[in-house]
Amino acid sequence: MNPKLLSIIPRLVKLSLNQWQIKRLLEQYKGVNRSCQLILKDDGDETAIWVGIQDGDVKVKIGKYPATNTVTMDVDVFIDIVKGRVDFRTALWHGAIQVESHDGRPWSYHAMLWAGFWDLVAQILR
Amino acid sequence: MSTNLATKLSEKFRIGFIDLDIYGPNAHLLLGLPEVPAVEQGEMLVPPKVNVDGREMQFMSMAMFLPEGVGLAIKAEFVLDIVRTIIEFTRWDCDLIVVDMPPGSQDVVNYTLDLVAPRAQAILVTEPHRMSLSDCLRLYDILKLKEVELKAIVLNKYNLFKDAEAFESAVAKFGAPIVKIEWGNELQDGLRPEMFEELAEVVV
Repeated sequence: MNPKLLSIIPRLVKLSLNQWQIKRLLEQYKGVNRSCQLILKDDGDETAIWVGIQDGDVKVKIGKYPATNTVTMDVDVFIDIVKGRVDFRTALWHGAIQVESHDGRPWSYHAMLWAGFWDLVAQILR
Repeated sequence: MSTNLATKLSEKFRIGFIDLDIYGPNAHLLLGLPEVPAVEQGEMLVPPKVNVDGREMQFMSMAMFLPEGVGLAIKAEFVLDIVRTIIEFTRWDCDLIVVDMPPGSQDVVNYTLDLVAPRAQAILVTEPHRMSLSDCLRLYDILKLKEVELKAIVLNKYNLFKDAEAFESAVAKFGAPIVKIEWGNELQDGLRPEMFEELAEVVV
């Protein structure tokens, strides 16, 4: 894993400790099954993180696993999003995030849904 | 124009509304933004709803995904991908969909007409002056090419231009009813569906 990601560990701990709020915010994902392969790039280095939502529960795994879409961004952009310095949508529409679809649906379909998901994550971290 | 028409039509029909001005959406400034975001159901997006005059209207706009004040810096082909999501991968459950198209006959317009023709009907909105009429003629040509029925021609801000009558005869040859909408300052303040009754009657 990229050492830069160590800087967001306190945020991720905060996120994981906030189970009640996570469950409340993820209510809207009841019945939804989605997965995403997150690729964080940094000077040739690459960190792969798999994020899945299964019936309102979020699962995160390190590595590459089957997913309906891939979201690629610079590791610094990801850190900025997690730290609240930039929001996912702005980074996406400014071209700092690339979304690739693997299931025949438009990439923007996935992007629009993930934008909503990251809004929830940002809400919890705030 | 389109937000007022959609609001007027919602008195009799279940309306869906799409703001297809991907780079510069602004219908939400009149309709408001939905409180709940678009969600996925059965591998399709479910459009969120806005409340207009006490009635629910399904609504999709880039404004829901593009923060206020943020510009869209993506390639044109990606914009067409967004159009495809909104038209083909959104489960619309309504009687009529009103689509607010960007001006002119640019790629979003062409691509959208390819997706929706021949089910679509068009309303050509122009202002009664030379520059607008020039755009209008090109768009009319595209509508003919794609076999989209022209339901009405709107001469917008009719009271603001000199020789407006001359342009009325120029568009009369298109063979569709002409509706004149006069500009009033009250249109800046909010929705005025009562001013669009004639247009609503012509198009449905």
